[in-house]
Amino acid sequence: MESSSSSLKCSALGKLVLSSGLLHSSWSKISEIHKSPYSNQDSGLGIKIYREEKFTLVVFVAPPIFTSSSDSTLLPGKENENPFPFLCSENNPSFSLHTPAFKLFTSAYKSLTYLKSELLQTLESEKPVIITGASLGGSVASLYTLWLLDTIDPKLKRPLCITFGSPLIGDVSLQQILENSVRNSCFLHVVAAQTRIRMDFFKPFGTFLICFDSRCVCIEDPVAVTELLNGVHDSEQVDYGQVLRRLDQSMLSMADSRLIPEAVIKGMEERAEMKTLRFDMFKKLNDMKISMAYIEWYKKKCRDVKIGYYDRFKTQLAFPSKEFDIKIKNHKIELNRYWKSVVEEVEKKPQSDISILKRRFLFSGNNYRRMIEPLDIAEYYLEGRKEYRTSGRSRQYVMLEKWFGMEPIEKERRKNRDLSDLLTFDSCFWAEVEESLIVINQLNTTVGVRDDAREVLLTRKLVEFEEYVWEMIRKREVSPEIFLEKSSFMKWWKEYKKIKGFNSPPSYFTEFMNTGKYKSYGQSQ
Amino acid sequence: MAFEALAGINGDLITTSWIASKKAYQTERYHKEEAGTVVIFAFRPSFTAEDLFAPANISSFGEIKMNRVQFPCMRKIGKGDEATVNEAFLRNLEVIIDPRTSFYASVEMSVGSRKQIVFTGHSSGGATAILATVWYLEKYFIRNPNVYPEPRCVTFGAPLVGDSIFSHALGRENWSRFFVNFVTRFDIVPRIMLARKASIEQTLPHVLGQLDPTNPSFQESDQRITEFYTTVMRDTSTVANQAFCELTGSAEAFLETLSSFLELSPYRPAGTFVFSTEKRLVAVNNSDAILQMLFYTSQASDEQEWSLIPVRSIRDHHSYEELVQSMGMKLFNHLDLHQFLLDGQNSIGSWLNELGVSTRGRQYVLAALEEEKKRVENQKKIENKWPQIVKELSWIENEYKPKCQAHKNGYYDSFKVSNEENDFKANVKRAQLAGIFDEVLGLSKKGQLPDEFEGGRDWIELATRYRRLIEPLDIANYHRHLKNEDTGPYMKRGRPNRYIYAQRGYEHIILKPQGRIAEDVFWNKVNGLNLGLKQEIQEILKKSGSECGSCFWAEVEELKGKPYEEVEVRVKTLEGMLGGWITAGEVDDKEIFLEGSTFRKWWITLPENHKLHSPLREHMMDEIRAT
Repeated sequence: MESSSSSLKCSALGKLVLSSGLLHSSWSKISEIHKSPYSNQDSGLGIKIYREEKFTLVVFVAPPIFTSSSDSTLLPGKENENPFPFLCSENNPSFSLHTPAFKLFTSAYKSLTYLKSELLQTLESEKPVIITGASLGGSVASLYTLWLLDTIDPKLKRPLCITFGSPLIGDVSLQQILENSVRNSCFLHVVAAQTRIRMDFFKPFGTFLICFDSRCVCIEDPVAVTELLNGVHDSEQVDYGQVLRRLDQSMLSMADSRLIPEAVIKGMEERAEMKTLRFDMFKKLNDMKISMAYIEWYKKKCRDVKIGYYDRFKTQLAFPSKEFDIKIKNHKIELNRYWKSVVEEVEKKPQSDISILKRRFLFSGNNYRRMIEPLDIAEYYLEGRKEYRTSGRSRQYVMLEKWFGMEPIEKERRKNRDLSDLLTFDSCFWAEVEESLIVINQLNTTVGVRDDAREVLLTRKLVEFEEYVWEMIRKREVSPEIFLEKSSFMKWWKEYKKIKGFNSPPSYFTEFMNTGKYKSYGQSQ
Repeated sequence: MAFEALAGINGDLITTSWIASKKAYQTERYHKEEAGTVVIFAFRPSFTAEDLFAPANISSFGEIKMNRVQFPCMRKIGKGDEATVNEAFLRNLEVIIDPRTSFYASVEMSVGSRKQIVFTGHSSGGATAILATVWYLEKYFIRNPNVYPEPRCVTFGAPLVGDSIFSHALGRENWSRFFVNFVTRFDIVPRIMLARKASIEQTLPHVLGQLDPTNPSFQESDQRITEFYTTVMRDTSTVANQAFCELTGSAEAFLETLSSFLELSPYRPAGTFVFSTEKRLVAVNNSDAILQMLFYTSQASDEQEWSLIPVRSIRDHHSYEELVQSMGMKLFNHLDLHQFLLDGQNSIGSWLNELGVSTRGRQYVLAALEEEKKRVENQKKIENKWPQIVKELSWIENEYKPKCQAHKNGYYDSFKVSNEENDFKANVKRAQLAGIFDEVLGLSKKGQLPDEFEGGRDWIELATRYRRLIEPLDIANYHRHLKNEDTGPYMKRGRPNRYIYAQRGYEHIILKPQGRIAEDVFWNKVNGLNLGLKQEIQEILKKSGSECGSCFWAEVEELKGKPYEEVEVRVKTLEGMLGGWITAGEVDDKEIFLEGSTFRKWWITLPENHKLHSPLREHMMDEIRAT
């Protein structure tokens, strides 16, 4: 007796798909077109729309496949060469498609664009859409659905693409991209069990309904699908009308036989188990808030002794003294590990899915970046390394900054707001300070012959930094902590003041510093 | 026969109920019978299509949401959505329970003499009995469960009445045990409501004619009956398989996409179902398991039997007489989690076998029990966290708060500036507790906790303590980070669901005995303040912190920065609510009137004329005198 829950679920889902009647509605329309005298006369793509009472059906008809083609077309991530740029993920910047299907798709691009706007209207009126086709027609239907999905508001009903015995359309990259996307749920591929599909280059995605004689199972796991269907494509045409009729007859009867080999089931179960163990970013978010609370407290304590948490951390790293400092280091490691995994998860997703990420999560990530990256910078420069911004940043910071920047957030910041808890907007601020200190060091240690050109270059760098800082002060985007007595920034200022001397013309910044205005920066007015 | 295990229903009571149910055929609406200290109300079934599907109802299954004023318990507490029931059945009940009817008077009399009431009925009479029982529970029983006797509901071949929220609410209130539904193996009626109205509309009147026990012309073989049976079972299969996939969480995203194309019956079994075999009666109370059984017990074992089932599906609706008569000779078993844990699938498997459930079908039923087991385990996991919750809350109560009070500004203001180490400690505890309560929330939203959990008094009390104590810290945190400027007011954009759910749980147990709902109570109170036109006031106070005592600080923060003239109504509402909150323990009056409290500092700045007439004047003056 099969006792495994996986096989139970596969067969329940199979029965559900069957009793839904959606397959019958789709197939009857497909066969209607195929039977009509006008079909198959030209070699182009045929599209027909049926507006039924409960849903709208779009049927794609393509010329029959004579040879089993495995030609593929590589689509790069760039917009102008790829109609699906939104599908590319950070991890999979390009993918390949089944050439015959892709050619048919591009050949009808114009009418498909028109159809798209029409279907979007239908979906907005809450009426579900089924996109279907048999054989190569189904492959084009899949491509079209992928294309359509990009423009569909996630709040609307998703369309369902139903294919019958269709060749696979995408390579392993597309499979990976879709595996991490909700779009995967929009594809139902009906395949007779005796059919073999070549899966050496093209890989399955979506859900497969595999039809045995009088039973069927529904499988989502692509590995199991491959195990069950991979093989040399046979050209024998399957009549899906008959397949459905046979399944129908036995729907209410009791007979229930074993359909999937035990080994396949076992593999499926193991993979399902792995999936549940996979990193759950939402579950751990509260734990991360605890770590952030520790670091926030640390920051506050440092301020009380007139040293910013950046400089305190740097000194403590060199001379660890208190348990608290070691704890902070551990919290930092925890946080880095967590956000690294989060970013890795997100990078698997198609570009257009990233915007769906919850706001709360994006804000937390941004907070993390602004709070923790300075500590990474401290570590970096303590080790005597240079040029953090270009060669030292961890990927999670780069990506979090990028995604945060993509989010259209209009903030209304009150002018007189107290900035004492503000985290500096540019999380690489301290790296800039360190770089500028290095420049000062270079200027001060000029030995031997004076090299005017070099000096000019170095001084210009200092002025650029001054301008950078002033811009942030002006916009109130930097934390007042940089002005604390023992901060590296103040160390820089003392040196800079010396270099500039009293001869150079005063700037807004030098005046701000010299007159002591900085002391009241960020206080609520 | 161990019928007593069915919460005080014995064989005699069942027999009497059945006899009364038969007598009800000849009545206009109901038949009343007294047997000792028990009063039986049996309802007349109807066999016309419009009594199964309300003619004016345009939804696919003739369903309607229950009115929350009339049935305050019949909903999900946390999320707040009401139970759905069949409108035709509900309308029928409404006619019967009209205060001018003899039925109403009879019930009042029985209630007055503290007699136990049994509601019963055959076929759709059973549906009426179920709703009448719910009505009795809401109208009398919850007001005082110690005084009013527990009702009983016994149905014979009744159609399904309500959805999963209906069944959940009965489970949560521990009322499920009052409902016992007898089902003969092939009886089509308990399955009818799983079919789409549109798919059976044509054949329904004919079939109903055949189902009517007072109709003498029963035909043996009939194409329309076969068609009807096949349609109902096909839809039953769809519902059972969809529910199974959802329950076991398989292919969630695909299931969601697919389901949006389906018309799925909302109706689910509620209470205990008793299925009957040659040798025994099998009682099942797991709604998911019953749903699977409704499909799998009605399957044929071979082709020959297959052709006979449609007729049996009608005839079995008439075979409750035999069932009742043979009851005494049969064994009685509980197909439940307890038995499942006791000997796995051994006994349960053999009982299901006797009921004609296939090997595969058995696995579906067992999988439903397996899910129940997981729910119980989830509850245990949460209960294991109680000591930690209590520990953290006690620290806030006994350490943090008193220390802050000593500084004359209370823990809200101390936390808001967060300059002390204790503030930091409190922040860590806040995050830890949020983790636990968010986890519970997640489980509860996905239905992965037993029904009773949501209504458990101990849990609600703990959650209330948590909400009152910690929500002010969340509000302080929100305003410390100026999220009110970045994201919007706390009440509109920032209030975590864990507090909203906790608030609703609290309101539920407080208001249940009065049979009232929180919204009404709140607006009544507001109207009592006489601040102006009702509609205008409602608009002003929509989503304001005055809705809930633990949001007191959120309202103070919102009002603080605004000119008095702009927010006069809100200020007065807040003041009007405060007394009640202090009495109920929602707001701590030792905190808010302290010298350094944001509230006090703001209140002092209000216009003199307002302060002169404010109900808080005395409080504020007292504090001044005391210092």
